[in-house]
Amino acid sequence: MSAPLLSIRDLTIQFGGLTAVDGFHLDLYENQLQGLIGPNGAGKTTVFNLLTGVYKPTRGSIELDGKSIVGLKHHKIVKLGIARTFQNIRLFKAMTVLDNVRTAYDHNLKYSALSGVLRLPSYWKQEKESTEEALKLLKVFGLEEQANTRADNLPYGQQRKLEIARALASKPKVLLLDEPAAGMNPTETQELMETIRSIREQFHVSILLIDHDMSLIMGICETISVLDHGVLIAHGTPGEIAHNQDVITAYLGDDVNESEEA
Amino acid sequence: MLDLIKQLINGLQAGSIFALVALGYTMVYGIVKLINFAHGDIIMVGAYFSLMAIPMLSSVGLPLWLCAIVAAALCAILGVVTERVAYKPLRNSPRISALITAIGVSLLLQNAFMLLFSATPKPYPSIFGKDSITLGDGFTVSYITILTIVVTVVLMVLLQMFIKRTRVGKSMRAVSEDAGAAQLMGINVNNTISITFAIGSALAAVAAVLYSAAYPLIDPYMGSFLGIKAFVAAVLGGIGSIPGAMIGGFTIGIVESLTKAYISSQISDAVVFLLLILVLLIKPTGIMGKNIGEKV
Amino acid sequence: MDKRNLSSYLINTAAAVVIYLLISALISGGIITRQYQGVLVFACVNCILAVSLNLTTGFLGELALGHAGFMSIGAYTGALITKAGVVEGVPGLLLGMLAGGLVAVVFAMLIGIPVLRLKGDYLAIVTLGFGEIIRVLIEAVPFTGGAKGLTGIPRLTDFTMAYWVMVVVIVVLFAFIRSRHGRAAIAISQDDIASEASGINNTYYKILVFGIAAFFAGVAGCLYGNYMGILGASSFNFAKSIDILVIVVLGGMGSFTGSIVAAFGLTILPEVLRGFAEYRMLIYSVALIMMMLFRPSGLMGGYEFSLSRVIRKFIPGKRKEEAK
Repeated sequence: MSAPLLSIRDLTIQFGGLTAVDGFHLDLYENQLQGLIGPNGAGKTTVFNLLTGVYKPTRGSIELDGKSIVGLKHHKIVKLGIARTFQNIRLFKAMTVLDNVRTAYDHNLKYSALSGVLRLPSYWKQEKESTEEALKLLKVFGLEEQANTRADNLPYGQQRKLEIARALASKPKVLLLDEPAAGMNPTETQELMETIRSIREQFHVSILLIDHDMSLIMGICETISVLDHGVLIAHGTPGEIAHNQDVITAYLGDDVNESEEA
Repeated sequence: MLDLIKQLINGLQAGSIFALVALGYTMVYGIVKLINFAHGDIIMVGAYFSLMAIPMLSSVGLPLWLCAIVAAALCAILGVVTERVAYKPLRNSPRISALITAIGVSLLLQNAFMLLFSATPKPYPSIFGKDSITLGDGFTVSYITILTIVVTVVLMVLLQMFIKRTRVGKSMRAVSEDAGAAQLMGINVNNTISITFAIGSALAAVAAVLYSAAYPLIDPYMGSFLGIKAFVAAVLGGIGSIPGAMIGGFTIGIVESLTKAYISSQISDAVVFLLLILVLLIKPTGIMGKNIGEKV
Repeated sequence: MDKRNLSSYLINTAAAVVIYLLISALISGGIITRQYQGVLVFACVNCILAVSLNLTTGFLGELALGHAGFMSIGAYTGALITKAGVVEGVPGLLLGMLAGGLVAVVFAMLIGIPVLRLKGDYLAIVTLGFGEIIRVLIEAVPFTGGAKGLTGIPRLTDFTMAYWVMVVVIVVLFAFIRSRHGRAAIAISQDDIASEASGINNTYYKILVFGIAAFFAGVAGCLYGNYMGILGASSFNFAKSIDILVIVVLGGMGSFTGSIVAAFGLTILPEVLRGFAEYRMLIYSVALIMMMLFRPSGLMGGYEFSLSRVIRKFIPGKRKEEAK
């Protein structure tokens, strides 16, 4: 296999005395779909925050395309190609669905504030482009009809989709999805699985996915990493993970395990 | 040399006042993340309340310093009422709404008192006497200066103990960490916030009496710049930290006093302001502040 | 540029011209007295101040309390330039506005760069301090006339000048907010973490917006100084900053239309209502609190009046076209 797109080594962060993530490592290859699971408070979202520059790691390296991104600002990392969604949806609520997506195109647009104010040809051309691209993206998620609706007027499931669409608008190489199926019913989850699969094909992105929904993770991920108390306890294919003793212990606790053994 | 020591002591006196007021900012900011612009005006209100209490106390023959207690009690009530009426309904609104409301409350207090007492400064009686202590060689320190510094340090220690040791103090810390979690643990968040406002406002009233006794002219706008300086003290010391408020207060007091004495009294406010910019530039969490990451 | 954009530009230009001609006619007909001409100039100045402050406070969501400070910088810079008389007459005034705006931007950068990269509400307190201190500094330096004030400023501003500068500022700000830069500013006000996650450099846009607002406050200040002919630092006090904030809040944070209506309303009101001046600040303070508690979006909300939309409504043929 070629060199990994995203390579994480010995990633560690301490908050005061607490080590939230300890020696985490992961390789994400081009066009791969990996899962990251673990019990509540295992440090999954913290890993995302480290990858996107929201937190600075205490130790460790993160390389995108062979270049270190540690210490870069959040927006810089997004420009380099890592986009994300949030566990608790963070849309620009009072903006339209279309503008939510267009906002994430910002760094692909080049016209200056002055040419924007003077409405020079570059403004019209690039605004038209960004609108067309945004509408295309909304179509993929079945949101083109709602383009002019305020984002907070969308039903919950569509808000989740809009967040993914917005993340894709920044043209990422790596897409981090933080519990995209949270709060969805099984039918919606099923539909989401299809969407995630299709966006990987359509947009050629590698995806790292956090979720509690085992059926989602097991159903679409090629490899899965398991975190517990900030430590990577297992890594493998869905089949391997399902039968890994450490993982079962982490999820169900020691008591259950002991009684099973007995 | 003698002059320098004198200026340092002056600085400590003014700094004590800033520290007492800074406590109100720092506690309220710690618990509801609001810069309470009206806090500076609570000082002004405290000064007027205590001024009104003085003739009543003297007519019944009680000691005059009790006016500080009266003012503290009334300001505590005012602080709690303000929070309940103006800030509480906006707790889940955008931050800017609460900030604008705080500005509104500040202006309301200033202008209401302006209409009630007129803008003309009122003389404040010297309730602690005009005695001073001679420390040899013609070097004197007035009684009120010593009193101000001592009262501030004592109150600061008491407050620190209150917050670290008592149940209410612990609730206050819990609510400022995570109001939602504190609520789930059975802490009455609303009452805790009210108590915070009450303590902060009462301390401001004490500061008002000490300030007015030392600089005996009070007017409806006296609180606004005093408030800004105290806020700078809170930021400098590290917002949310009680020892920080004291360190910040003393620092601002000394810087101001030295600027007035050796550079120019006209630009002393500008120097304090410059200090704020520098702190925000170099160490925005302040001297004692913790680095808190935002939850994402 | 498509046909619809072009038509609404034409409609709005026509409207601005018609309003101007109407008021000019009233002035030359003697119906609007000299005194009320002054009020109209102040209204235009306040309108520029309000729409520019709305950019920071309404759209970006950062409370700024020192707008009068930037205004005073523009006023003094513009006054000194026109007074020096290197360039005479109206071009001199234009030069003064440009310079006044730019000097205000320099000061805005001095406080904006350290403060706006931080989270939290430091801008409010820092601008409040700045607004007060700039006054002291103006009185302290030798070339501003000190506490006595600056006199002998050429009175170059008239209603025509104030009106057209106001129109240009409104057009520029509307265009700005409907560009990628404006969109970024609104996104930051909605959710600053999500905006960073969308590749937006929050600090850059915050400083950009704050700088633009300061620039136009400086322009407004220059117009004001060259209308008054005399300047005193004390007229740019905290109360003046609050006057502007009240206009923005009552008109609606995030609505330029609201700011424009409120600027004219609140400038003309004290002239018409005797006794209002005495209780003005008291009424304003209550208004601020009440608005935040009961109608935080302001009287207009985020609504923007669009003349072309109204016209389209009354022309049935065009409506059908739109439906297609």
